[in-house]
Amino acid sequence: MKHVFVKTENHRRFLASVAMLENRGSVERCLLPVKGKPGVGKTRVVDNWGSAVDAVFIEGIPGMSLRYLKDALKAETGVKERTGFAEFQALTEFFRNDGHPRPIILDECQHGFPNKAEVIEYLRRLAEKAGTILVLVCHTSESYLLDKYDHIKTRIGCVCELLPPSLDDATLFMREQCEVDIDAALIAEVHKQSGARYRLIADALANLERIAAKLGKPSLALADVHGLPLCQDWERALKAAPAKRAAAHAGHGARHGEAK
Amino acid sequence: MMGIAQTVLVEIVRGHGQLAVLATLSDKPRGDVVKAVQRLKRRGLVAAVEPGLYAATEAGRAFVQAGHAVASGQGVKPRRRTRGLRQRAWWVLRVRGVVTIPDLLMTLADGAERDAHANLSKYLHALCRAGFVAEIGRSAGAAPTSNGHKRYKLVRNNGRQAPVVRQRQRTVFDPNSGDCFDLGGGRAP
Repeated sequence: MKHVFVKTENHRRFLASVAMLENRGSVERCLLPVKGKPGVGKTRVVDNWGSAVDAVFIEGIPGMSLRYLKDALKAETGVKERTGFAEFQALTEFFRNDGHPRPIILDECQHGFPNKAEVIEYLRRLAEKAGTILVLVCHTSESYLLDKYDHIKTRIGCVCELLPPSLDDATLFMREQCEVDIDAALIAEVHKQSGARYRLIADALANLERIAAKLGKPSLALADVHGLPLCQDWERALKAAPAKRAAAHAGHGARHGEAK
Repeated sequence: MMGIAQTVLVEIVRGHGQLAVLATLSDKPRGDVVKAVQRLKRRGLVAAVEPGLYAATEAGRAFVQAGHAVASGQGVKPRRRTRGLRQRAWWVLRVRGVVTIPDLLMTLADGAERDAHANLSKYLHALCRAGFVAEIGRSAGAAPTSNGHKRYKLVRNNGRQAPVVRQRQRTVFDPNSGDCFDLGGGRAP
């Protein structure tokens, strides 16, 4: 596989959301929630941007408190002040960065909501004072928490939803990453089998390269892999399991009834 | 030949601070004089006394007395936001704790870099020798004959600024602590 960052539609969507916040009118609307289902590329897109702008990255953990957040911020920023006011002022100055504000990223932001969302609220005040952006990354299933508190939801400048890859996106991803040429029908098959998730597409690409090496071909068409599973969707298998078990149970019950 | 900003600054230091007078003395359109004054103001060499009237600051007077000339590229350069590949790799390494080179490339390299793989490989190897990261086995590679990819774990996280490899001195400089580490692993004298 070629190891390269692919500028997908999600990447463009994220950059557009950031640009919208950077050009916002009101400073207090500094929150940028980024939500998406697992495997849509949240981490990669956010890390690519965060490393480019030298953002401060905080990872949310279960049981996260305000004390924990302050310690994490001080470790990241090198701020040494110990009293509350001086600490906040020093952190604000750090994030202001002489007129080039450093953004803040809170990953797994759902862990910042306990205790009246004190963690999010502290970061929000900090971002507002420093004139920067607070990126809140979470799964789609947890994004309802943002709607819970008025003082948070009214400060949202833009919501960025990262979507599963379209066929065009999957085509771009596969053409840029795969060492062998793949025809359009095979790309559509990988897109279908992967359930439009980048992680599974990457698995399929690795398998396609192995198949191409085995067949000694520089390019692959759908006919070369017809009927082969190219990636394993365990999530789908788990969802199917209860239905299969129920069907098996029903079949067993029927046979048992017949025997009686 | 003096530029318009230089002419304007000299005249303001002499006490001719009105825009109309400056335009006459410099023989330039008033709009150009306004732009020159704004440029001098941004550099802290002149200050507005009242609308349309300017006076030289201490820095402005010292600037002229020292015989300096106003030219582009003399101001304080703003901090660059786009970072080099090694600085960005250090950022990802600190966030994730454990990385492989393919991981870093798939997050950072968009194809515009010149041989990103070799660059990161050399950088991580140097960090490993200086004791910033440790190799912790390999993750499987995609190709059937692949030996896999080395996994690097961050073991010395001194701060946000990426360690700088100094090839000629055979050391790694840590801008966070100001220490130098030799490529054998110990702290350089």
